[in-house]
Amino acid sequence: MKMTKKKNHIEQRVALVLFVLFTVFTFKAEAQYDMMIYSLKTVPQTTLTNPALMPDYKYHVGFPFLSSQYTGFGTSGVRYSDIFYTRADDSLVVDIPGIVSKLKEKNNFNCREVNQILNIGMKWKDWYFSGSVSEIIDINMMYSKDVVQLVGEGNGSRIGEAFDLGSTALKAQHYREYALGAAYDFDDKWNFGLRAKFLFGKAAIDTKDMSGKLTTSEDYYYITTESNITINTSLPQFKKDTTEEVTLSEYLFTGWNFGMGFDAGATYKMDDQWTFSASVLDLGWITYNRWLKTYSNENVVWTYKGIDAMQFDGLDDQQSEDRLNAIKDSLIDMFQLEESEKSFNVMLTAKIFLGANYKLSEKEDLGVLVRTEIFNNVWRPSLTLSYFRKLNKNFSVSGSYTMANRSYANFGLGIVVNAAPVQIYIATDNVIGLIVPDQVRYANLHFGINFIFPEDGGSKTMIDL
Amino acid sequence: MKKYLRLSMKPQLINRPLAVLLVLLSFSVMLNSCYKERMGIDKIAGGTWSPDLAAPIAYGDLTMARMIRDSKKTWKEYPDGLLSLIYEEKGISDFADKIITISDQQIDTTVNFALTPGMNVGDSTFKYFILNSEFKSNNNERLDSILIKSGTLNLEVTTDMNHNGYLEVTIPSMTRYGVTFRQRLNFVYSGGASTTVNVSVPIFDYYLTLNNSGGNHNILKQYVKVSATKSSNPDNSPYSFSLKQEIKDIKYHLAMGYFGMHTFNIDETKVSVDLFDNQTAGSIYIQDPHLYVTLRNSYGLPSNLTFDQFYAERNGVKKNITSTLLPTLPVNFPPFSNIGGNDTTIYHFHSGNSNIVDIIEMNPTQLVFEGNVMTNPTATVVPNFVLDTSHIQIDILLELPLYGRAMNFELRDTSDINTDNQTDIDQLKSLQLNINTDNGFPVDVMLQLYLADTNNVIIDSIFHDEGRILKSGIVGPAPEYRVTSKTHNLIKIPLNSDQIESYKKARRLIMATHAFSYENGTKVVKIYSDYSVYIEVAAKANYETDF
Repeated sequence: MKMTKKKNHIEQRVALVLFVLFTVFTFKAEAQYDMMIYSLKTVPQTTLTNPALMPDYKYHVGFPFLSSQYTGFGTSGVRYSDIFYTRADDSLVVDIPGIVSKLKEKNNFNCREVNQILNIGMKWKDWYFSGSVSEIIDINMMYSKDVVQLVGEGNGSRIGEAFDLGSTALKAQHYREYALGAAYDFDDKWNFGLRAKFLFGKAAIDTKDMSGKLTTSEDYYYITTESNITINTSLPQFKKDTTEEVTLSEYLFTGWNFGMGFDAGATYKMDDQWTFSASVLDLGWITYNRWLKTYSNENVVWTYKGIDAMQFDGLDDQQSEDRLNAIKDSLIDMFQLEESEKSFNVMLTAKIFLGANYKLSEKEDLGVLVRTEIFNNVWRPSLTLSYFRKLNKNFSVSGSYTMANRSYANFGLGIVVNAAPVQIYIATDNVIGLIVPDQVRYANLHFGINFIFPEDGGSKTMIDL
Repeated sequence: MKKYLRLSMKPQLINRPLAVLLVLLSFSVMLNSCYKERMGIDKIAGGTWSPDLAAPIAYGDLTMARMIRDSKKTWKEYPDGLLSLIYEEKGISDFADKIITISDQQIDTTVNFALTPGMNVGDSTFKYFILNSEFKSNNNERLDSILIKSGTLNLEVTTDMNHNGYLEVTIPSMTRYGVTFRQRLNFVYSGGASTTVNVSVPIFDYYLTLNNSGGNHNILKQYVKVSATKSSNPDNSPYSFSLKQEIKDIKYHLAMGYFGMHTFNIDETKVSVDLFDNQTAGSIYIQDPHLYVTLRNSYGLPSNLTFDQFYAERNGVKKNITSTLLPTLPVNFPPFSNIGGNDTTIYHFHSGNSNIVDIIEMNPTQLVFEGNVMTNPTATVVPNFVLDTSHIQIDILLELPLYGRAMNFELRDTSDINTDNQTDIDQLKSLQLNINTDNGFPVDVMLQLYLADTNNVIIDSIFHDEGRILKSGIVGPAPEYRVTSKTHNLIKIPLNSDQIESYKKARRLIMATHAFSYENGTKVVKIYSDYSVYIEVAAKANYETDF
């Protein structure tokens, strides 16, 4: 009776916590990234979300180039289907007013591609060591509705008001990651993990500062821009001192854009039912030194008042045309961006995972995972509720519900076929997104093949550890 | 059973990952093809971009000084900056060589000559004759001297002398570069009853002086020397020498004397006043217009100018210019000390001596004058001189000080619409022009733009109200009447789709402006050179283009 009462009390608290989380995330759920993999407990790549998780294998080896393939996108703004409308002749036409109307004040778009080239791990006493090599493309963009409205509807749509361009940011990187991780089974309750990442940047665009406003005044229609911009780039086209184009091998295997990153995590097994986890990923940076170009200005306020017609006085047609072209060139330079070449750091997009698992039985458990991504000083949370069930010794499935990118109908599915030594897994946070990617704000797919070598031939989940 | 199951399941378990992989690959391929279909990549047909764009187009500080600089008109600026418009035209008389001419001269004479008795063969003898003849004139001119520009003196001698000899003509009062004119005609007897010899002599640059003393006029004095050399032929003295002199085609550089009365025309000349060219209504009242008639005379003789016509005209309506100075204007002439120069006579027509104010009030588009000049009009004999280039030039100068009033002064101008950029216009759905002005001129200006077809039939107009694009600056007190502060004005000119459609159809644009000086034209104003108007034009357009 006492046990039942306690259990009821815990369930009430869980329900309350879930309610609060749901309420919060209904208003602000903007990030996306591979939530389902967290619940696939038998997959070594689960450690990508928390380095403290410890695979129940003596060792594992990822299938070269296929151990972990992840691709995903997310947008809190318009969906692909929002961009077009269908005409009577069945053709698709870009619907600019529709796009603008569907945007919130601040929007984001992100896209991530992770191709794991190598992945190995082995258990030693209370430790589990792992290592991996991955190619990562990570694109994060924020943009305001004002920017789209300005481009799509023109400045004349809001005379006398300011278009706020300040919520615009872009961080796009391609880098190679060499990761070495260790998970430590501290005691029956605590696990700790740390992963060090050695990063080699290949290309990057990073808007360090991107604040600005554009205002069109009443009556005179003066256009005033206020901007404070720093855009760092490291791109092949900025290679100097040669007319030859950058070759693929030069792009991939040369250069010294070095960086470091760290993942850290812990798990706490409160009792037989409850396990909690927390991790911080991608704390680090890459310093870019090659093929550099920085565009910057500093608090430039510029007002366009039209063309001084008097300057054409006395000019012939050709001279007038030349003068007009010069004016056009100067208009392009309204932001007065200066170009320079200096090395710069790009911070990785840090993520925080907070998870809780409630073990329903030996074969199934419930999980809740809160993931927060920090980009451009904006915290972008997402929430996943998951259900994991081991159908048999070799086959596990997981289902999930995720709130992300202002999207609240994301039902995920994960499947693991665990036939030692071969393990195949596939996971998505949004099954609908795979079928109708044009209708969703969020879709991803993560699959891989591992060779696993269990200690006892069994397949315990990592949370069980 | 359990064992059986394990044994039987094992191969299945080994193959299951492969099967799953195959399923995944198939799924992936299927997804890819489905995605392409689903996303409708091949169906994307662009879109329509229809932004509202607003921007300042152009601005400019249009100063009066700049307008003057760029103007093709003639301006005059007073020390205080007050401006006047100047309209000027010149008329010119015939040159003197067309008016005062020197007629051809024919001087024939016969002298007898006898050999000295007892002359031996080979002996020579001569005799001088003095010949005074009158140099004829066309208009009873008294010719004191002529600097000949061109002409010919033809000499012909016929004699019955049967010996060799010569005849030599000397004109002491005709010199060139200090050398007296002298021409000899040799004749050689070769048998027969008579011998004739002739010669033609160019006489350019000779300076010929005629004798007008003692009641004589235009007397030319010549010395004729006849000389003979005795031959073996018999002496049949006296011999006859017939001398024929012809002076032809005389042109002069300079002639002095008294040339009498001559009348010559100054052809019709028009002074265009384009200020009023495109005026279709209203009026400009100029407070103090001036008309100057300037006569520049290089004839060295007294003369008068009489206008045959002197009027202002607008749309075929003529109004004579009247003045106490008219009808005849004496013309000053240069003294002998200024041969080659000219003397200037200026007649000033103003509100006090003429009807010039009324003339300008009719806003004429031109002034017309035509006249004649009479030389020596009083017939008083005074020394005259003329150069072949002597003439009288008449400058008519109308000065319109920009000091007055304008009442509904309407100007219209028509221009063709350029249809080259029709595509751009097609994409224009609506347009609003905002014109901000800070007017430092003391005038209100209303504008209307009419869209018309090729026959100037109006299709549409742009402004539905008065279209006031400029509001007069505030004018200070007399006597300066200077603008003391600028006045701001904003006019918004919306063009709806109907008007844009009309513009597409139109081929001509008729611009009509109405101007009132300060306070609806009830106050006089002055236009100074430091006036300016600042104009800013901005536009907001809805533009639609496919991409």
